[in-house]
Parts: sequence; structure tokens; C-alpha cells
Amino acid sequence: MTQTRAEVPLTITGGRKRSVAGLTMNGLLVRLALYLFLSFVCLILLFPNIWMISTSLKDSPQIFAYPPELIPAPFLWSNYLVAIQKFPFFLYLRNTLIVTGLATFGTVLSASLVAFGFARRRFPEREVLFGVLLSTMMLPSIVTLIPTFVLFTRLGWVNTFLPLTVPAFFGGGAFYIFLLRQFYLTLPYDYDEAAYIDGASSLRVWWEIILPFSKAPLAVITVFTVLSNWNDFMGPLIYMNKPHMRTLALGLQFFRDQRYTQWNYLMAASTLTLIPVLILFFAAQRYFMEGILLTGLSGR
Amino acid sequence: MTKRLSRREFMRNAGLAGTGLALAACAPVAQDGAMDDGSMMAEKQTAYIFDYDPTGTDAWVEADQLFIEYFTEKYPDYEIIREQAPWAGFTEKLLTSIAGGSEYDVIYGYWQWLPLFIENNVIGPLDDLIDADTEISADDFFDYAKETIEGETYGLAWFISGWLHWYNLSAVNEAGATTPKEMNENGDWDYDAWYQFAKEYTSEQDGVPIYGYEMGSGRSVSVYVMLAWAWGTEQWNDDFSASIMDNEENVALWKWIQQFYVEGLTPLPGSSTTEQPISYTNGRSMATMAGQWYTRTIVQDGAPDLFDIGMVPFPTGPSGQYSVAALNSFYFSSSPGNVDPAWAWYKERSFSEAAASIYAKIGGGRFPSIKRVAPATVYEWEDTEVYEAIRPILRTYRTSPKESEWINTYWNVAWDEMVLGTRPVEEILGQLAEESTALVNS
Amino acid sequence: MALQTKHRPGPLARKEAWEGRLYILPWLAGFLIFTIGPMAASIYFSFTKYSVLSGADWLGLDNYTKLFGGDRLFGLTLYNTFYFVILSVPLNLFAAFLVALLLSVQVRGINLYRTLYYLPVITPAVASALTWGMLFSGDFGLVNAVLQALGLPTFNWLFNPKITKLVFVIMGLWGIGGSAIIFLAGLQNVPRVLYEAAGIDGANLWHRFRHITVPMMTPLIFFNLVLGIIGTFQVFTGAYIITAGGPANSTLFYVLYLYNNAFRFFKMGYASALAWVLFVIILVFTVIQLRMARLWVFYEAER
Repeated sequence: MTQTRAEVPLTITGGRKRSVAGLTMNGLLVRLALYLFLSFVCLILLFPNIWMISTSLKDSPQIFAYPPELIPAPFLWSNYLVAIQKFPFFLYLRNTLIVTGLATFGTVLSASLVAFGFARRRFPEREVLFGVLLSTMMLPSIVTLIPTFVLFTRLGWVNTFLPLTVPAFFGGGAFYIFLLRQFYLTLPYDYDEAAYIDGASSLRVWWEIILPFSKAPLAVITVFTVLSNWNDFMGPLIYMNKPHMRTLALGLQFFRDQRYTQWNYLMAASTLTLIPVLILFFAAQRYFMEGILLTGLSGR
Repeated sequence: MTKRLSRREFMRNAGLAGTGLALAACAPVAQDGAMDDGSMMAEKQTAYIFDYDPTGTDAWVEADQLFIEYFTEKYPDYEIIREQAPWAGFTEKLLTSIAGGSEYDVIYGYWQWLPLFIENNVIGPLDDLIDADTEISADDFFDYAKETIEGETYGLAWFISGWLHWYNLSAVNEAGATTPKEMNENGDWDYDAWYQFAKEYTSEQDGVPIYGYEMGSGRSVSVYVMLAWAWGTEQWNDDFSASIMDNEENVALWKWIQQFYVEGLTPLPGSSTTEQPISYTNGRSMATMAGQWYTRTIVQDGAPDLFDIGMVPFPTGPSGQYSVAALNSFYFSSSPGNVDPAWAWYKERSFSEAAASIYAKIGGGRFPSIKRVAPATVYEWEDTEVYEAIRPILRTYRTSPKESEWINTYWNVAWDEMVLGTRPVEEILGQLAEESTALVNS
Repeated sequence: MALQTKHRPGPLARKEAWEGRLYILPWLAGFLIFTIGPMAASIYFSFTKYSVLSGADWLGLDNYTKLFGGDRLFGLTLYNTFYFVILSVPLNLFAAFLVALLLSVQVRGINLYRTLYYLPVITPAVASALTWGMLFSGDFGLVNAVLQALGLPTFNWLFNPKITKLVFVIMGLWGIGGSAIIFLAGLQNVPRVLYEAAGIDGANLWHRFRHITVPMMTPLIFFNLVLGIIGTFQVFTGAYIITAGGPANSTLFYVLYLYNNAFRFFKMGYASALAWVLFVIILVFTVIQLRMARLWVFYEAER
């Protein structure tokens, strides 16, 4: 099959035909209906977040007011200031960034290599090992929590960031490998074949053909990895004994105890915790839309 | 061919050996000095404490800070190493640490765990330590404030909270009625008066129900037993060999509770959630039951600005008047590394007057297990008379060895069925008793 | 399309095989170091009485015989979980695909919509849990308010054993952003030239969707289906935070029961037995899917 570099229309500027995923968007009415529908679903999906932000700006009595009030009165922006002073927010942010950064780098790098092996190289044990890979997702982690902790204790890694980062460099988990493998399997084979005939090594094929073609899936797993490490509660909880090594997900627990939750501060801190991931997502999403079509095959 | 076979065999053996090794690496770490990094500081005697995070209010954090300062100053030779976990994840953290070989001299306890901790030799009795101590004796403590199993004391509560009713005093005054507190003083505060109160004050405002009483906490067994004692029964027989949940008194009590739900005197579960507004504190129910700790919630939710707070002990039932002692204790290791610093910490934290005054700031009229320290109040609307009235009628909830499993697996379900009214109470309790007896004998 | 080159013998194939093994080595090493030990340990624990507070005592098959023989809750939690899986997996898959199609349309401002649709996935569970009460509570919930305004009957959503599972299915829809993003990324890999060719042939919108988009997306539909089943069988967080399994055990899902055994009742041995039974169940479903995949999943790179 031959591949052409497609011209992709990016914005609506006139009556030009838009053709993405085979759907054509014509006319003002269609677009208007689309916006309305998108916004309607959006509103429903965003209800929890709207409420979360509203709560983060209220004073305590208003949180419990009846009937529930959506608009804070007054707007207590100071809640955010108070929230980050109640625990060492910036220290925990730093720790979270270290753990998330290392784990994400490890996962994206190693998962893309491993997925390349599973998708584009043939070897006799491939199917069996792939089955083993999938099976690691099928056992609830609750029952491996204790032995895994014991293992890291024996390695002397407790109270370090190692248990939260080193495993990421070993494939980063079945989910990411499986996802990338599925993407790699959708890539046409012609280019690697041609490259191999040209005498290219497989590592070069991975670097120069597979990776450039895979910006979208790599962006997706980057976002997923960041998110799962950013919000991970159990890992930092059990491996970090020293308060100064805690992460933001643990910090959020600061606003709750046995009977009592400071909802406004909790929501303020949650909102702040969420923002970096949101920004990352917004920045990464231009790559989501970057399939082979945009990349083309420059330089070959 | 032979070469291939042998290689495969080699791979298999290597795989088996590898798996065996990997498995061995995960076996729980034997508890032998896994924490000996402390020996580096040879001059100081170290105690290891497992505690919860001082979270929630600023007062709590401050108190914890003050206590550490107080202790460090008083015992310069002792070093305290605390590992802390937030409430969410407390068990996970504790269990993984113990499996990893950590030994703690003092562990913050939870009454549902007590039998298991003893059974597995994690904690030991305090009686010898109390006897050997020259500053205190066993008689200094309220009996109900001791976490005791088979005659041995495993915990001396650092905070005790009794349960009481909180009612909307403004509403009662507006109605020109006798307050529950006055009824209590006149000897008229009984279960019928409670029910009448709920009925009296259940109303509707702009199409929205105002409930006379918020019954939700009754689902908690440790609260339920308080009612059951007043009705002359409890949930187990004397030696925990059988459930008596299907006896006459329990059936009558459940039916009494059920009418609150059936008649709409109390909100159904799910009509609001714990975080959400149907509560005493925003005036949507006229009364509720809670421990003394509830003062913090009342203040947080701003209730004192909306109406006057009324407090009264639980009513008198057919067999008398009770309040349940909610105990928060620390437990002591069965094989402490350094007894002196650990016991010093235990004593100071659990029942010294200094600690009591420091932690009093958290609020809630609580008091430690030692008799000479009085309930502390923080807010002007707190009724010290009621606190003093509750003190002599406190009792401790007796814990069966399988309490946690029983509550989560059987009790909660039966309670939900009672509230939903899917089956007659006799039938629900019959099944509950049968399954509970099977559980404790399994 | 590439040549059919199956079973190519010779040094090239052997080189390729060794390269393949080398590429997957990071995962294999990680599996042997970090994963297989804990998994094996949990198998061992499943044959023991293990409170974690002290060592494990060998029980033989007792945990398993109790599980299959006398544990009423085992059956009930399986029922709850299957109920949830059967409704939730297809619904989420369908909704996620639909959302991805919607979000793939190139109109101004679509970037913002994509971010907003993903926002619920990023939101910490504790924050969204607060809101479910606002939506579904019986007395003042938004859902009931809307139903009432439309003259429809209202429910006590979170305390009616007949509908609580459905509420969880509905709540699950808030999390489709993850699968939708995967589909969205996949849609970009559908070669445009196919559509253009089809356009010349005069195929209409539906035909192009049915005969080009869907087949090209099957690897990712397969991925989301497999992962959906694996993940949904292990549904836990919502029931743990919002209903704690109630009312009357109607949301006591399998893994929540397993968690209770492990960390509430201190029965790690029994929890491990439960976990391995679930492992086998999920394995069976996954194997069936892998087999069926040959019938409907289309790989560009298959050779």
C-alpha cells in the first residue's frame, strides 16, 4: 500500500470540506449542532469539577448550606493560600515531579522498546511471553502489595524513590506495552522492509521509522504514565516513612482524619494538584492528532 | 537434538530456581533487629512509635507539635522515632511495615484489631508495667477506659468520648416545650420521649423535609450496643460463642428503630451522604447522636451561628441509662526493644496531665483514662454538666474476636434490610443471629 | 502490503529472533525481578492462613474449599461483578468510540473540548466522590431534580439495592476519557488515502465509517475491550469510597470483598485465594478474546 502525505485542514475558515476520520463537516448548522452537543456533554462531564472548584472557594458553613449553593459567597480565594500552607506543598510538589518525571521517562522509553519487540520482531516465544505479560494485569495488586514491599525492603530501597521509579525502566507495566504494541501493529510494514533492505539495523528502524510514526500513542502513554504516578497514593504511602519524602497525593490526605474533612481546603489542594497534569494534557494533545498523516516520511 | 533438549532443560531449571529465589525474597522479613539503624546513636535510648498523622484541624497539628516539644524537653536522653500514616491507608501502611520486619514499641490502636494483635503476639499486656510503675497504679484508671481482654489490660485510652444527643435548642424554645435536658433532670427522658421528640419536630419547609432525628450513626455497632444495653441486651452471649441478636429485646429495639425510617422521622441513607447537607449542623434535622468529638464538626459547619446547641445524655431504657465509651488507645509491643523510653512515651502521651491539657485544645470535652483529669471544654456552649453526667454511665463495647468481619459482612447488611423494610425484623435478625453464631464458631 | 514471509528460515530469522528477545528483555528482567516473586508468594499465601502480623500457616486447599463450598458472599460478589462488567464494558467502549469520533472533528476550539472531556479522568477520586452525592442523593440530588421537573419518578439512587449497580455503571461513563483518547490517537492512523479512494468510488459516510474506520480501528477496539474487561472485573474505588459495598451488599464487588478480607479482616491467605480465582476467570475471558480476535481484528502489519 502506498502512503501519501495528506493535506490536513486544521481550522474552519470557510466553506471548505473537512474530512477527518471519514466524516465530513459541512455547513453552519451542522457545526452549530456539533458545538451544542459537545458543550452539553461537556457540562455533564464537568459537573464534578465545577462543584469541586466551587467548594474550594467556599467557607465551611456554606459547604453545608441547604439548599446546596453553587456560587461561593464570598469567593474565598484565600482558601488556596491556606491549603498550600497546611502542608509543605512545594516540597511535595518537588517530590512528585521527581518521581513522575523519572517514572514517565523510564516507562515511555522502555515500553516503546519492548512493544517494538513484541510487535515488529518475530521469535518463537513471542506469543507465550505476550500472554505472560497480559496475565500480570489480571491479579489484583492488593495481594501482591505485601510481598512486593518485602522485596523492596530486602533490596534496601524503602525510604528512597527507587521503588517508585526503577520498575518503570523495566517496561513500565503491561498496560503501556500492550497499548504501544497495538499501535505498532497498525503501522504499515513497507517502510521497515525497505529500510532493512537498505541495511538498516532494527534499532534504527525503531528510532527513525516507528517512533516518528508513533507520536500520538507516545503522547497518550506519556499522559497516562504521568497521571498514574501523579495520583499514586499507595506507592508513596508504603515506601516513604520520612515526612519530607511524601508526594502530593499523600498531602491531600492531610485534610481528612477519622471523622472530619476540611472540604474547602481539600478541594483547593486537589485543584492545584490537578492543574499541572491538565497543562501537560493540553500541551500533549496536539500530538494526539499527529498520526502518520502529519508526520509523513521526511528524510527518507 | 540432545543439545537443544539440555538447553531447554537448563532454562526450565534456571527458571524454577529463579522463581524460587524470587519467592524467597518475598517471604516476610524475620523480626530481628530490622530497625537497628537506631543503634548508631548509642547514647540515646530510642523508642519506635507507629502513629497516625496529626491531620484535620490546625489545633490538632499544634497539639501534636507541643506534645513532642514537651516530651523532648522532659526526656533529653530518649529519642522517639515515629512513623506516621494518614487515616486512609493506615492499615496498609502498618501491615506492610510489619511484614517488612519493622518492630514498633508502641502502636496506635483500633479496638477492632485488638484480638488479632494479641493472637499474633504483636502487642502485649500492660499490667506488669503498671504494677512496676511507682507513679501510677491500676486503680487510678476508670475500668471502662481500659481495653481489657481476658483480664489483661492492653490499652489505656488517651482520649475517651462519651455519646450523647445533640438537639436544636432554639427550636425547642420556640415551641415552648420542655427541653430533653430538663426531661432528663426530671427523670422523664426515656425512649418514648426520644421518639415523641423526633415526631414532634419532623416537619416540612418549602416542600423539603426537616427531620426530627438523625439516626444514621445507629448503624455503627459500637453505638447500637448503647441502645441495646438500655434495653437490657447486647449482641453476643457472655463468651462470644453465640449471637443473641434474635432475642426479644433486640427484636423490639430494631422495631423501635425501624419506625423512625418507616415514618420518615429520620433521613434514609442515600438521601444525603456523609459529606452532604442533611444534618443536625445545618438545621435539617433537629437532633442527632454523636460523641463529644462532634463539637469540632459543629464548629466547622457553623451550627452555633444558626441555632443554640442543646446537649443531653442518652435516655433511660427498660434496664437503665448508658453511654458508650469511645476509646482511643495506644498498644504496647509484646517484645519492646527499649522498655524505658517506650513506656515513658506511652505514659506521657496516654494519661499525663500535661498531655491532657495540650490535647484538650482539640475540643470535645474528652478526658483520658486516668480519673484525676477532668473533661476539658473549649467552646462556651459546651455543657460541662452533661459531660459530668455521662462520665459515670459509660460502658465499653465488648469486642468479639471476629468483630470486623462480622460488622462488614453481616451486621451492615442486616441493618440495611431493616431500614429498607424488605423483610420482617424477626426474620432479618433470625438470619443474622444464625450466621453470626456460625462465624464466631468457624 | 508486505510479502507473506512466514517461517522464513535461516540466519536472518535467527537474528530477528534474538533481536526480538533483546527488545523485550527489559520487561522480562523486570518481570523476573519485581513481579514473579510477589505473584508466586501470593499463590503460596492462598494455601495458608496468613494475617500478615505473623507468619503464614499452611492450610492446604482449605481456602479454596471454603470459597467454593461455603462462602455465600463469593457467589454474591461474583454476581455483582459480572452484572457490572456485562453492562459497563460494552457501554463504555461504545461511548468512548463515539466521543473519540466527535473529538476528532477539526473545528475551532476542539482542543479545549478534548481537554475538558479528559478532565474527569485527571480529577482525584476523593474530589469526584463528593459530587456523586450532589448528583444522586435522594432528597436534593440534581438527577432527581431534573426527573421531577420532567414529571418522571424519582429514586433514592444510592440506597436502593435494585439500582445502585446501575448508578455505578452510569458513574463509570465519567471515566471514558482515557479510552476515548486512545481511540482518538488511533483515528489519526487511519490512512486518509483510503477515504479518498472510497470517496471516488462514491461510498457514503456510513459505508466509509463501517468499511474503513471501524476495521482500521479494530486493534484499538480490541485493546480497549481486553483492558476494559481486565479492569472492570477489578472494579473497586467507587464502591470503596461511596457505598462501602452497601446497601445490603448490592455494590459489594469482588475486589472490594477481597480488599476487606486482606486489610479489614486480616485474612490475607483467603484474599489471595480469591485473587487467584479472579485471575483464572479474567484469564479465561482474555484467552477467549485473543482467540476471537483472529476473526475480527485487522492488523496492518500482519504477516
